[in-house]
Amino acid sequence: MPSQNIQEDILKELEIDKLPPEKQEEILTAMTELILKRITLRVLQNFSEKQKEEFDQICSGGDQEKINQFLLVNVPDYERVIQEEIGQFKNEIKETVDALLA
Amino acid sequence: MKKPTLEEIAAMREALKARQTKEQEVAGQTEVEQTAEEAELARRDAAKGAEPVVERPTAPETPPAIPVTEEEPHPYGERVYSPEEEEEIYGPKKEQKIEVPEEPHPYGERPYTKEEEEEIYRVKAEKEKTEKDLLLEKLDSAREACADNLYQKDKLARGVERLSGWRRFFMSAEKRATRTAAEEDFKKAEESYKKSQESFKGTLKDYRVYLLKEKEAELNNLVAKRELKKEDADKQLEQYAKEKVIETTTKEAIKLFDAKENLRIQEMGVARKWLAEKTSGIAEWYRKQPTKVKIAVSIGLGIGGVAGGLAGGVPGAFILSAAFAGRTGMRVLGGMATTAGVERGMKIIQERGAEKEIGKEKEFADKFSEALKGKNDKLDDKLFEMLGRKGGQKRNRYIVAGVAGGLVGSGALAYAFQEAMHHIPESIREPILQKIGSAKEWLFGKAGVEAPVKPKVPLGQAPEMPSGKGAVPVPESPLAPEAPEISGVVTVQKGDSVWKLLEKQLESRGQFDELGGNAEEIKAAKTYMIDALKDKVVVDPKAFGLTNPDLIKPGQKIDFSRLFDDQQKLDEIFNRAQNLSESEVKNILRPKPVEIKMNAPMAEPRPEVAPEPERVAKPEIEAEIQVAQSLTESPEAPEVPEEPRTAAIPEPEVRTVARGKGYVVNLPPAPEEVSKHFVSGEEYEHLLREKEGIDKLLDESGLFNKDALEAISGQVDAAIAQTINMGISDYNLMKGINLENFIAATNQPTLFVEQGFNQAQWEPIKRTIDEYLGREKITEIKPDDLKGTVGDFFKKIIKIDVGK
Repeated sequence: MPSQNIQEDILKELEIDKLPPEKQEEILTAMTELILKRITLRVLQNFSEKQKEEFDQICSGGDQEKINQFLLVNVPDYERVIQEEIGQFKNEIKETVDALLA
Repeated sequence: MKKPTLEEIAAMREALKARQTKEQEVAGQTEVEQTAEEAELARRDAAKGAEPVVERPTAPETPPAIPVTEEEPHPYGERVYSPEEEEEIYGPKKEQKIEVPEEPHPYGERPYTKEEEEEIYRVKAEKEKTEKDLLLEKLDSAREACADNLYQKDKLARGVERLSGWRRFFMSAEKRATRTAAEEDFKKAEESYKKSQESFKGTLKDYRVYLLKEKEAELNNLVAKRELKKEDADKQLEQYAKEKVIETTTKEAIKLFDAKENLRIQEMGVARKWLAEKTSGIAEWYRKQPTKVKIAVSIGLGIGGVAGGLAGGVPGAFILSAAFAGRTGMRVLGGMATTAGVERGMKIIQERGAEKEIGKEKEFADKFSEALKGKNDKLDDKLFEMLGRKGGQKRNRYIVAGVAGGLVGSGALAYAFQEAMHHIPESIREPILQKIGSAKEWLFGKAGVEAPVKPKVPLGQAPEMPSGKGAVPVPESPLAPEAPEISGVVTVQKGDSVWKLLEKQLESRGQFDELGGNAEEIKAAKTYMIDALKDKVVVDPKAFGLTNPDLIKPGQKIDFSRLFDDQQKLDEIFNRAQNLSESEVKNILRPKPVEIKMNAPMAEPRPEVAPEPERVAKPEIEAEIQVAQSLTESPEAPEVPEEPRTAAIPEPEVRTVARGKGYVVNLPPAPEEVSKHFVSGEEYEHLLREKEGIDKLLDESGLFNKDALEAISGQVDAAIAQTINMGISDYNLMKGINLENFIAATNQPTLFVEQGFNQAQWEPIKRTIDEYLGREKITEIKPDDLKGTVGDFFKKIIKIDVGK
């Protein structure tokens, strides 16, 4: 279960808020990009071939509502999964940073 | 060739000495005596069998002396030796401390194969690497190894877990053995990971030390130059060290996880290509967003700052689906961006700590939460209970920043924000809005603070907060509350064109705000969008109240509503604009060479008019033109020139310019009608120089007097400016522009705007050029005609009344 503390400001936890604003932004965007990749992987990794084809088709239509509906239906506990992945990431990154600083 | 005898060698030494002395005399140098140290070195080298290599900074380069004891006669007589003879006598030349010779070709003088070339360049590149390059390489390797071990460890851990727990009670002996083996494998993997982590840490530390030394050297340099005090340098170094520790560690941790994710994808088997595409697609989508959207996504995912305590579940799903749809910016995030902006703004206010600001913020926040709760009877009490635990200011920040589906989707948040703002006195409202900055625009549109807007979806339908019990319905309407309506019906003003009007429409509707990418990509995307919409107008002008989209008149009404009512089409155009390829961007931005053709009957010869000493003021001329054109029977009389289509497609378009009567009434007569009083700018310049006397323009050094020449040139420019009824300062601004670029920019007037030129500055130039082309019956301009600047061209074409 992700630590509640980490649900708080991860930037503060990692002391990134002490960096100059442009560095903060750099790190924040790097982190966000990584999280987006992780949650994408987590959400899509178990799709069957048929689901993948259907998903590609819906994506090409560009209808966000349809995409969201498809994911809600085809990914069990879709939103919780995302939440979990984000929380896990925050914990892992904090642990890794602490380990690298130790 | 036979080996020289001892006598011969002694003779050679004598000859050599004599030659050395002669060379030194010529060079005016005296022989540098060997120092004791050099002598010792020479002795040691001689003992090793090598020729002594001694630096003699002033002695000329000579072959080294042969360490012989007896002098030998010169084997070839007293003459200059060839290089081969010298080598024969003295042996192969030893390495001297001169410039490093180029390395010999490793494969001989012949064409290389591709592999050989790669090897040569690889070796060369290796040698040219700096210490920093090597450290970074080492860091990359250490990180990759660590990521690999981490991945393996995690994978084995999962395997062990699958074989653990209650299952072990039902395992066969074989399975138990498998489990034991798995546990052992996991322990080994854990050890490997720890080792690689230590190595990674060590390398990272070395890199940080390097950075610190670099910074220290930089600061010491400043101290040495007395540009910085020592104590300030020490403080800066300490601060730098702290920042670098945080920065490098966090960045490396992120890269480590990124590498691990890539390994994970690689091991997905047949699915890996598809998954790799999807994940990199998401990353690409994110990278293209404007900065404010990136920050909003970060906050929405619960990374950058407090985000309603919901850590990204609902908003994360929302962001992900939007990313897959390729949608960007505000249209995706809607309230997310709003709350992010507001939250940041609030944070800034809070962190400032000024008492009166806290007071303002508190008042605002209190009103805000009051308005929010009051308006949302059916809002989940759980939210407020949860938020209530946070206490005080933080609670209000949670509310203000509440990235909760219901709040966002229903628009209740923005509604409450506006409500709260209206309860705050004007005197403190503005500072709050200023601090929140762009969030204000997102909430209220560019018109500023408006009356409260009703939420799009009744608040009672706000979805429940995620409780983990089931899927949470997506907000029905994720967009920000309606901004003030922008009318699609426009009235044409002087100087307008369909292009410009569409540009204004897109701008007013905030369509350009959401474009991401670098400056060139944004520019190209804007051009693409305007062009795409203009295409629709051209295809069916009647639908917009037009007969000819290239000919619009001041006062005319055009209805663009149907373009902006079709949100789906608009989204498609937007998405396409946002995803232009590099070559498409370049193609769109490349100025097109202009081929100007006539599409109307030639203008009738201008009637002879006596040159007027005083020019008519511009507004009167414009009125004259308008009257003249309203009376003209020619349907092709232009009010405003066409804004040609900028290529979103590769083929360049031919620009056509219609001609009419009386377009510019004050241009002096055609060349054939020139009286002796009229001369071209070039001729005028020549006349002035003659008048001043060429001699007078020469200064003492025999060169032309620059000031005098500039004064003459200025006089000519002033005369040209007056002739075409332009202010001299405006003309001076425009005259230096490259002619070809100017004409290309007339196809894309936004370029003028970007360069800071207003219409009053460039339009007279354009009109003059058009008139000249019409008068001269020039149907085609070749690229060679476009050399030089606008000023150079005008000196040729404009006729100036020089008086009698």
